[in-house]
Amino acid sequence: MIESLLKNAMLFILLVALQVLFLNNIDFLGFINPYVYIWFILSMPVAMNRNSAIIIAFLLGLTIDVFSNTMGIHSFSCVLIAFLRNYWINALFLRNDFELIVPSIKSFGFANYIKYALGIIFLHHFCLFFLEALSFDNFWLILLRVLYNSIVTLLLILGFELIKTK
Amino acid sequence: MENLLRFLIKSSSFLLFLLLEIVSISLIVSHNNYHQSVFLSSANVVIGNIYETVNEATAYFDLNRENALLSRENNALKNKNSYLLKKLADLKPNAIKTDSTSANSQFKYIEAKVINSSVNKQQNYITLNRGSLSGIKPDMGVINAKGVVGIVSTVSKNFSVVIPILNPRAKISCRLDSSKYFGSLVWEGKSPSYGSLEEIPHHVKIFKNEAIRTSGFSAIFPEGILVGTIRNFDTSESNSFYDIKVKLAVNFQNLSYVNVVYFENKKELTEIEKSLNP
Repeated sequence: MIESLLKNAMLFILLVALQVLFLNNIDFLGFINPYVYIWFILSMPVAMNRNSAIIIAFLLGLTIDVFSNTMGIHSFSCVLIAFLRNYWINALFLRNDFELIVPSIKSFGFANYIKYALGIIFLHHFCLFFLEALSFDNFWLILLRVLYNSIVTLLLILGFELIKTK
Repeated sequence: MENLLRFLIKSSSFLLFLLLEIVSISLIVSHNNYHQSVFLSSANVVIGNIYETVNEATAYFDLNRENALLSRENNALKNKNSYLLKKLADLKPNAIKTDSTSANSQFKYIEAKVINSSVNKQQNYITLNRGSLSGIKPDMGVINAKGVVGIVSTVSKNFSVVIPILNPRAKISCRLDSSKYFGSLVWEGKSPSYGSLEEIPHHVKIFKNEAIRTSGFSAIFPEGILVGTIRNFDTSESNSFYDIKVKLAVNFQNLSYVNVVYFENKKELTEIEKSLNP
């Protein structure tokens, strides 16, 4: 119990550090800025108490917000995906298939995991980029950024998953 | 009553979800006020220190380019110095007592280092390693050797957050070099190298590659600091102003050292302006 708590706290800190100290500074092609830290939310156990999942997601988002001077937009997006995650899993898979399981390539299977992750990543990025702009003025440009960044985030998260299963 | 309680417990996660989303939205809304809270920004002591430590470790990779830039700036300053010395010598024999408080001599500069910055967001920010202890206050201008960087928004004891040109909240009053017409420079959220100049009417003659400089109206920047050059322009049918695309003078992708502009008589100026329109 304490061991897993410690492990998760370490992962939280590592992902936040990776995000704000490294990934927020890469400026590939001028608009690629993947948000890999949501891997933490993606990897929360399916049957986890929903209230605690939402609170943890809020704290994670708020931490990223404070570091990047973007008050509220990460916390909003994180709470949204933490809340909708179970509905998404229920919509994708047969009910009760994955109770008590941590979502990963190993437990979901490669194709299913991509479906699961891409939906949530897209929702998070969509919410994030439009909240950041606070307008639909550059709608297509921002949508394009959402798409590109979702793909890059997905690839990085798949990379993490592959390293983890090795 | 019992039913209500059961309902509340059953949908507690939905209520929690709503509550936290409302908190987030209120954070977003209150953050859009110009002066944000120091605690919830990168001017916060803990976060400022983390960024500073990391920046100290990574600064070495930029040393070559920084040195080149510094030596170039040194050179320019030396040239200016010798020119001024010559001018001074010319004036000496029949020296006229000039007013020592002429416009640009009232500005002083505080040197600061950029410890965190972004260019690819819709609203970008820069964190500096100097704060109120070094004399920095909100609403001071920030420039570097190449031109205008932005305006200070939030200041803590040892750190400050700057709103650069690359943020729609920054609006900088500018002047055309040739015709001396005024407009304001805004950023549309697309490329970190370009901004656009607004409010220049059609009848003004403008030229490609013409320099755009600060107007010196607001006492935030001294007059005549380079902001950018005109890349191209268009006349739109819908209104009587040009669409002007401006190549920004500062390269925001590799900012390192900046100067915060300190206007000595700012208090006096704002007071006198206030007394005119109470």
